[in-house]
Amino acid sequence: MDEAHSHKSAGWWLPPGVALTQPTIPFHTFILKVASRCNLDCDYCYIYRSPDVSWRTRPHFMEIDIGRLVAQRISEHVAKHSLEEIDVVFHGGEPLLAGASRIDALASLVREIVPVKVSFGLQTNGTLIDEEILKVLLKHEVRIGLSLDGPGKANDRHRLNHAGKSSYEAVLKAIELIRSNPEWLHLYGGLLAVIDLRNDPVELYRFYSELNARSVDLLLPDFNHDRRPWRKQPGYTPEIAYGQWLARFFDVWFSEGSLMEIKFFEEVLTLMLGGRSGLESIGLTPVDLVIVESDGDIEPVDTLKTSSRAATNLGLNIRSHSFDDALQHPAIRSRLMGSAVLCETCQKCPELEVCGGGYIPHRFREANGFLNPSIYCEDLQYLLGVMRNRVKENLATTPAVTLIP
Amino acid sequence: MNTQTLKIPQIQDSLLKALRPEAPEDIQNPILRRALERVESRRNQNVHAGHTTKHTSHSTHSKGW
Repeated sequence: MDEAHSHKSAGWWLPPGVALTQPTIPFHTFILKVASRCNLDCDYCYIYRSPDVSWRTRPHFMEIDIGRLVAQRISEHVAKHSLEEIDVVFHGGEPLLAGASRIDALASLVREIVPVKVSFGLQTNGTLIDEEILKVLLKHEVRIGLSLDGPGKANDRHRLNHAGKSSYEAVLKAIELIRSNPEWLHLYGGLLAVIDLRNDPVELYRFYSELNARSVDLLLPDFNHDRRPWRKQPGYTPEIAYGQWLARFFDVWFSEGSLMEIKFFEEVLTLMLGGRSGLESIGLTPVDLVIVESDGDIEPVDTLKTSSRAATNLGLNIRSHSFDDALQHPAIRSRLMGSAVLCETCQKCPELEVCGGGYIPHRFREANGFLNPSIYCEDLQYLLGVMRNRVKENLATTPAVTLIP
Repeated sequence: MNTQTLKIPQIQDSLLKALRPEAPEDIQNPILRRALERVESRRNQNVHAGHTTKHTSHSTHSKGW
């Protein structure tokens, strides 16, 4: 590790006077950037439209020899920490640009070298899905997440290809193809959408319901204190516009008791009811995932690319460093330390245990790194208030529940 | 139906988590039922032994969803 770099960046991750503690848990999720380019050119992309332009010098695809090293490093980590199962996610860029045979080979290597149960996932824009790739994904039981921001116009506000053409029809065809074969259907993991205030949340809910999505996640756009989100939209109060948008989606989803799981809401409810979060963007549960870039660089979560290259460049590579080396870096270790690494405002907030300071890239400011509330702090406070009230109202009318006066 | 099973502080908004249901099937909203079941199942996980605790926000593939 580059000690100078580590020392310099530590101030971004830790409040003054707070020392790094030893990691309490190892990594369980390994996200492999099998392709470092994309066939779409989404204008909000947290990789190709971000201040971190390291992708320009990375190989387009993860070579097999790098994949083998990654598998060996995972195996080493699994053995050292006596892990019983792990997740491996094929990610990009657009991971399907790597091609069916490369993904087949990489998944086979992981299966062959890692001696515990491996659950595979893949996050794709869907435009390159065909029967050949679906056969490979079925072979390795790779669950598929698709990015789709909504019906035609909603999706095409941002998700266009390099020629400025829509990606919408291609994604719908991919979903139809997956659903056309009962053997493939269980691979259809869910949909991922970035919120745009111009899209009607109720219309979006109906759209996803009609697609029979098992789960959907709604993402706040990856802005921060230096690059702020646009908030002026008729019908919304600017300071809490994203909170209001999410609350409107929540209200229709919750009142209908939908079987479609909205990850962010489900996790907030789990936290409110005393559970642990399973999503890195909410709650204080340690974040136990790590990225491996196509050239073998080991990095913290990729959305940090929206802040600065200094936030993602750990000076570690799979050729010469283990995943345990990565566990020692402030950028990784601080995310295993819960509320101790949050700013004073967050530490005093009554929503701390549920919110957990919000998603880490949304806290960034060049001057003091991640020691700030989320740029969506007021939105989250508003949303959590609405959600808690709806839960209380619902439980108050449940016969099995006694409310303590 | 056992009306003593579930107890919720009515006033303290931040203490919904005091709910410890023994019979989540009594909750009629399937969304709340799922959340309660998730609370219980995660309580029983041994995270150190390998149950993944957190998923990246930028992937929806995950098992358990």
